[in-house]
Amino acid sequence: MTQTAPTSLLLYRALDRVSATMVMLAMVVSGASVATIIAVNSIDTLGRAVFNKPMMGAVEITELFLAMCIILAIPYAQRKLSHIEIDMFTQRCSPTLKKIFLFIAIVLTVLVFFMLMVQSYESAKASVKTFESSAGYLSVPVWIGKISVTIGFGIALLESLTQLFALILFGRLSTAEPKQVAH
Amino acid sequence: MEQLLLAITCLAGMLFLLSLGVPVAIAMITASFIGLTLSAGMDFALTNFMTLPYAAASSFNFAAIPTFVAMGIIFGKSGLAASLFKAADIWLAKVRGGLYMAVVIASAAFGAINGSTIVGAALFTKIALPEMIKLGYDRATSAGCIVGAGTFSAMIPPSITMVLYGLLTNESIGRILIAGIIPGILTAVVYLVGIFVMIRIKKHWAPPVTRSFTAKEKVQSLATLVPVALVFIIIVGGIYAGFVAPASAGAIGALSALIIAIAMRKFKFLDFTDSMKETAATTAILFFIVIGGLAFSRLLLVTGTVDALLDVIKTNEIPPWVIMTVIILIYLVLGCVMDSISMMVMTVPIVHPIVVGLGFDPIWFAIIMVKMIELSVITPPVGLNLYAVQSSSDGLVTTGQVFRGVTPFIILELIVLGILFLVPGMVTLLPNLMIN
Repeated sequence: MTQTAPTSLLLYRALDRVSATMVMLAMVVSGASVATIIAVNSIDTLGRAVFNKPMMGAVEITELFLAMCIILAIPYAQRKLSHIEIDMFTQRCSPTLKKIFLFIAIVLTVLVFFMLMVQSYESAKASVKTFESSAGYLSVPVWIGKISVTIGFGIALLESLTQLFALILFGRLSTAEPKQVAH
Repeated sequence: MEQLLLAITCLAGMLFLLSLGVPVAIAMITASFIGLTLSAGMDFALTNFMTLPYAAASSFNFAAIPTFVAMGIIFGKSGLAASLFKAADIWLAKVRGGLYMAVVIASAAFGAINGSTIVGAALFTKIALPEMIKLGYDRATSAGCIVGAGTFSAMIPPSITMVLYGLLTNESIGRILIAGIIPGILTAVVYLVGIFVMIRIKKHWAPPVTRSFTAKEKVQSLATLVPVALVFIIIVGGIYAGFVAPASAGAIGALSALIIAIAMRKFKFLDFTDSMKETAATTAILFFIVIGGLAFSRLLLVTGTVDALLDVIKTNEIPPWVIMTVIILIYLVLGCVMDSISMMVMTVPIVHPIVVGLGFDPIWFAIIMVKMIELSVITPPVGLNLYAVQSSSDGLVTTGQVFRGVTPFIILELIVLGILFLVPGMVTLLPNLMIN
């Protein structure tokens, strides 16, 4: 790492810091969205069962926060490298071959996140133009959810680009941590 | 035929990318995008990905996933699993091999409030394995028992695997969840009988009985079951009676978990924020694969692959049971080399319509599928539960010991699979009785 050109190292560190901050911010919103989903559905269910008074717009609110909770946590999963992969074959490869495969995986990840970000941006743009909202009991702003999707994929793209940068500069993903996936 | 060839080529391309270590979701989206572009044009492919992520992520039914995950994680941190194990241990202390049975019963009870197999397996490794080894139980078999019993969470509702299956196939999630009750209980019973028999044959697997507990201790231990029973009744009873959607049931479950965890004084605010973070991350990981799976389903739809395969089967007059046996054998092999969720998301879009097209009950097949998923997480060398137990054991067992120890439990799982295959009524009875 000491032999790396200082400019690129500084650039990487800056990029990594920005990415880390954005990933954490997105994660805070995502976690808060989970708590909101639990709260809204609990109030709705208990209100319906106990007072025969369901919460107006519970479904629409849940749908909005669900999209935010899921997509805004994807960058975090990318940073922690916890997206599920099958490493049974790559484990037996030489370090050089492993590096090549990792490079292919990260490049593909960058391309996919780029495509998803651009496409969701198109969808969000159209949604914002009309201030799209849900047609249920409560008029919930759908455009916020669609913007969140674009932001989520945008941050995931930034994170995967940072990882690609690290791989090219240092030959490894500096943010790699042990995987932890629940089923 | 050209379209079928295209779909098969895309499938092969996806498998190739997977073998290079490309994340499952990325491999599926890449293969689907290329396939859709070649089949219906670039504009069509791009439009698909313009709407797919938000449409899928904002589906109300999907809310069952984060709420079930949150419930499992909060209960995991609450210390309730340890109390369940202690209670089962107290009641079974007089039986040789009682701790194996305690693991089975506590895992089944914990499965009733937890939808994640790995959470269960990792927790019981921490709680039960040191105790089992200290008392002279066979290390390998102890680890194997925990690995196997960890899978109960996939079968006994609430189950994340079942919710995912329902979302991928558009089958009723409520009916699938209810259908898992009898097979879940059957699995626990087969495990208990199997352990009883095995200990009679392999006496060195468990030490002679030395401990005993008073009647008062036994009765007091039952207090642990109250919150579990309450949450299970609320969730499963609510879904069964049609009072609540699975998503709302999960939310109530998560809220109950939170209240119980706080009441047990083992849950701090930091645990709460950690739980929310963990829930969001787990949901995102699962969901990203689901986006890939849905994209791949669209490719299969556009290319007419499933119809073409059904035509081939019908033209050649292949008996449905032969097809079903082949499918099960394929899953057993796939389960040894592939992660369970990926396996399900990749294959369900092809297999489910074929099975339903051949006249099999979709709910029955959902349970058979979950059973095969259970098998895939305990079959070496890729079974996730094997590694969850080994890594949570803090060096108490080696991977080799876990692989060896799980073998008898794989046989027990195959016995249950055989029973469910031969007696479909065990699966379809409860969903057919459900209030609409």
